[in-house]
Amino acid sequence: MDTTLLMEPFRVPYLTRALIELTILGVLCGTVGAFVALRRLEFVADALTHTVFPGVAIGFALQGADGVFEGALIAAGITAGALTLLTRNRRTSDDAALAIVLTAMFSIGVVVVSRSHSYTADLQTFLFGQILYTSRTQIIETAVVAVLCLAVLAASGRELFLRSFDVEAARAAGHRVGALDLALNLVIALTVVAAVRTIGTALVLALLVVPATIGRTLGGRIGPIIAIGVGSAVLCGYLGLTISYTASVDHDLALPTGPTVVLTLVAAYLLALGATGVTRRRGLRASAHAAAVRIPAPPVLPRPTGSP
Amino acid sequence: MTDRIETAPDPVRFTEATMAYDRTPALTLVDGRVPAGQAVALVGPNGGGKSTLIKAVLGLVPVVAGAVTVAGRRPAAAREFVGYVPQAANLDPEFPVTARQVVLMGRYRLIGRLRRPGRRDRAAADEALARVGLADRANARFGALSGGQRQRVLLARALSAQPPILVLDEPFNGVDAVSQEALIEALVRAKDAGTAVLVSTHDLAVAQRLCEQTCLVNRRQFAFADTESALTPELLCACYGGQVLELDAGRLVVTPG
Repeated sequence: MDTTLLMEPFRVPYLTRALIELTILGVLCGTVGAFVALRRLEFVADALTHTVFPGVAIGFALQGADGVFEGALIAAGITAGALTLLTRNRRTSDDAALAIVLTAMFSIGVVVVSRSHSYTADLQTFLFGQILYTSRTQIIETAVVAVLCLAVLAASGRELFLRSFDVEAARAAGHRVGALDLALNLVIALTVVAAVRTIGTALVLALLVVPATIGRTLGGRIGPIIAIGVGSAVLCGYLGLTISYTASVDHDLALPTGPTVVLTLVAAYLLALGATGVTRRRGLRASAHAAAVRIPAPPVLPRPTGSP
Repeated sequence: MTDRIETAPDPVRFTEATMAYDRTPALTLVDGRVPAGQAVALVGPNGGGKSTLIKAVLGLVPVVAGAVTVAGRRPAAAREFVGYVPQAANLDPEFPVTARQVVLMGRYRLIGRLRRPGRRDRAAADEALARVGLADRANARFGALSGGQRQRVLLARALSAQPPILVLDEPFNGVDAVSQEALIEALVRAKDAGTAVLVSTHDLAVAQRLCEQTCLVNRRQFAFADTESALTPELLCACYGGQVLELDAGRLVVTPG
């Protein structure tokens, strides 16, 4: 690939806006995703990307494009609250609670959308968004949400870390586990809302789950995991955008942006997986070698003295 | 008229306490106290209420009759005085956390929400790790340690906040001899410094070595007395509902019968 092509996003205004949006979302999702991974909440993130659907649909039906943000926000808030409440009931398992909320909300969304004319077009937009139509206002809204979510994580990150590792000890130490869970659910919900209009549910989910998994594959501590997650999210956003633009404009191969970014992320994950596989095999061989060299001499027992 | 002497409240006191989950009593009529500088062993069969009693002290299980007081308060209002050591086996060994980070968790409450862990916190964490003999493993991943070493890290986490009360849930389960000695040594030092210790265990030899008193429970209290008189074959037999074999002096084994 010609290196000047990599500069393309900085020259074409709508690409620049798309890149800024993807970068903000990369930082946000990379960080939030690390906590999603610690708590193993990937399924919750998945559910949230679907449960904001009725909010998006109703918001759009009532107020057009302007209503989408508010609609999604309300739906996400309802989901986060309902999940926190339902999972407190011991007889409803977490997964069952999720499935109930997910299917109920998604069905409401489909009912609303099916009453409008452009059913499939709306669903398409919902899945993959319209990153190339990102407006200045949308960038500002996304940035505000990102700052808010990152502030919440900065203030409660340590407690969330302890709660993820050892919930019993967190309770015993007097940390408010219910409030922490609600806070994280709300942060995930807000992240989904901020991202869903521009990049769609599929890409939001990919951005929340894949970079953190790459971080988890390559890093052994929380700091590096977040750093690698954010780095790979931002880098893959940039690469995916550039690849899809170049293919579409220069090679007449229509590559939609959202799916291209998702595939770039997945490729990065597979690379990371391959890389650790190689180093692990090398490491094993090295440590086996070291062990073979370092076998200590057996201890010599002192002879009993003065036996009768 | 009697002279009233100002005394500090008992670290932990049970007054005919009954604990229950969802209104079904899990453990009834526990009566006794854990004095400062002493250890109480909590002995009894699995499912007999050892964990329930521990959770009651932590304020996580409701006391429906009688009372449990911690430092003279109700347990939920006394969490700052208690260091809790859960079973290491229940934690995810894949969790991305180092031994030092685990120990620092014990100081989160002191650090507060907006401050970062400072030099004092790190020094306290390293000192706690040294007390359990793991100063050289501070940067090791928690999951890369042996089961016994993980248990020692969790004790170091509780010690790092220097609480006046330590509560341990089966810390000697599946722990190798080296780690068992390190745990006992650290607990003896804590007792010498005035810490009250409540520890559940299946190992009667450890109870005899470490604990001044033993509380025998199985749905109800069978004994709460000095370890010598609580760990008799008769009481153990009644509590476990089985046979007790005495192997040699001071070594008791319970077999289901």
